[in-house]
Amino acid sequence: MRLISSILIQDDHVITTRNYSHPTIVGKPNTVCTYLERYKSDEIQLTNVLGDALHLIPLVNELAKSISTPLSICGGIDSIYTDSKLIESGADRLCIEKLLFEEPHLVDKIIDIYGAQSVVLRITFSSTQAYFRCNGLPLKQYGPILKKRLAEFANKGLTDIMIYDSAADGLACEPSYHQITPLLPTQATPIFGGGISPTSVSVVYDQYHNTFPDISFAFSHYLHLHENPLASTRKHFAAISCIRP
Amino acid sequence: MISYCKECLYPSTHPLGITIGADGVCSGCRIHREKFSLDWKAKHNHLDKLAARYRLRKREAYDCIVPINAGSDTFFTVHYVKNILKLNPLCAIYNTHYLTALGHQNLARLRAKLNVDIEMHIPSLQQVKDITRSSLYYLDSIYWHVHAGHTAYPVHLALQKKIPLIIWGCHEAVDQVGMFSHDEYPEMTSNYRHNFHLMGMNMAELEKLDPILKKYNNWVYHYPDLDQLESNGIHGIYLSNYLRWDQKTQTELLDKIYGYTSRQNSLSYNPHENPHCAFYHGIHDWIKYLKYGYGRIVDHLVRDIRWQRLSRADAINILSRFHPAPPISNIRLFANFLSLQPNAVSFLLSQINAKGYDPLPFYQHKNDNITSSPTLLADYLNVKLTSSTLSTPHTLLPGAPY
Repeated sequence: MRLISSILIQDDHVITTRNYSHPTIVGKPNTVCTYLERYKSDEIQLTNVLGDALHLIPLVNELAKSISTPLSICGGIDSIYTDSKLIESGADRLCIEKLLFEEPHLVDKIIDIYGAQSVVLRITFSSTQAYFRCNGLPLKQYGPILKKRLAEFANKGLTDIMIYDSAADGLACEPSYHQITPLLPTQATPIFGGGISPTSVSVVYDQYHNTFPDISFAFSHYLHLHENPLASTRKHFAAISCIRP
Repeated sequence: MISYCKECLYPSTHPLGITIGADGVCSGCRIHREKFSLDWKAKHNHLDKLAARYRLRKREAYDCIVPINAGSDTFFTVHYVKNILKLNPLCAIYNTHYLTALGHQNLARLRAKLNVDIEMHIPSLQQVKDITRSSLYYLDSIYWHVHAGHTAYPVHLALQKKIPLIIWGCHEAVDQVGMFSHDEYPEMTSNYRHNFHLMGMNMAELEKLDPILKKYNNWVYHYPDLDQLESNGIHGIYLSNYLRWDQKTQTELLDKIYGYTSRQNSLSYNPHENPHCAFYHGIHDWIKYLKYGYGRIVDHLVRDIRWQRLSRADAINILSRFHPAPPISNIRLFANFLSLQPNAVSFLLSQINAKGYDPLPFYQHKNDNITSSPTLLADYLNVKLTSSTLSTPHTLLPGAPY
């Protein structure tokens, strides 16, 4: 199991949102990432909110020199050129969503060039309204198409799939993945995100740890509310030996 | 381009990172509305249950640490912790060397009337002067060491004395800019401290910029190791997540019960905030005005707008009659404290002015009514200046214990 810290970047600030609305600024990327490393994040995911991933290159460059935690970049990855620039600047992995939905053949090419281990597929959906955020289509309608696509990518070795419940805010609405997990290939290693807190980690782990070979969690908003936010989860799961302490 | 909240007066350049939504309302106003809608009784009960876990009921043991600074917010926090939550606090104060005689007097009042133990850290005066010079030069701030010491010393004390709970008063970012919801119960974090209290620069980074600071033992400005805090279960909560935080009514209560003394100042109508600090309503506020285009009076007006004591139009009317002016005598006092020539400080202030934002457009005066007088400002709001509100100039007593 890995614990991933996911942060949103907008206009050189780290922001946090509730269900993708009401953004608030919580710090500067360099400073926040320093602390995410101190929290022993297994990976730091930077999501560019404004859609142009190339905008993140100077930041990725700087972070790659100052922290040793693997970096994955999300948001606005829409071409092979963007991918190459991000990898060159120090990104370890690319988190791809739009291409998965709109140009899956490009995902194939990226896998061929950089290897399946350098790609994470991301699926953002709403558990309450049952639709995919990327294309707005209902889960029931587009789900079978996506399932087939994911199976093809899994056969090429791409098994890390992030499923992000945009309806979950960790307060009034806990994350729920039962509508999406049937779409994932059995060899997938899902990364659960959206309103994740230590409580929801325990619940989701109990639901799915026997279904997939490995599962991971992406914390986002919760990271900014508590000192050492990953520590309690790490302690709890280290006891059952599925995570590094 | 700078935008302004249509409900309060805050600009999008607020130092704590405000966001203004598509409806023109800022995140601070949006979250402040929770104060009128949340079930505060339930929240108090939640806090009481949390406090019960730490209530040792042993005379020789402390249940929690309460960081104080001789201001009204921390005075209220101690009152609430002791008298409402029935906890036995150990108060921790980082002596800023900016304390006035009034500050020492209020501290003595807190100790005597609330009957609490206080641990004080007094850094060396020269250390504070050197750090302040560095922070003024590199960060345009004379308050860096105040924030650094105030936010780290209590945590060091908690670790040293094995007291796991630290109770802070108000989470300023929630209160001012709505960084989080009150229902999310944000706790004290070193991440927030580094980004906002320390303006993005911690002690290690300041030492790198100004190596002369390395000659001092700067332990009190470094945050303790996170693993040590985790293994000792140390965490900090904010009272403002659990009760309907309102500085005005709280300070009036302190005045009534304990005779807490406030002091008029020339830069705002609010006499209650930080009267203990020689520079807060002087050069510190002036620097804020130069950097961000507005001073503390705007924070006070915004607070009163949000509490519906004042309309936005009235607040703009008050502000438009207020002429910000450099507090010359306070700048001289500060220069003398820092052993700098006044013209050197003026030069530094002019550099800050050159980089800063333009003044808020609401300051543009519409008539010739010069109103730096707090009495006239208070008249606008019918603020009763009580007998415990002093009007005599303050004196600075650096380091002198009460």
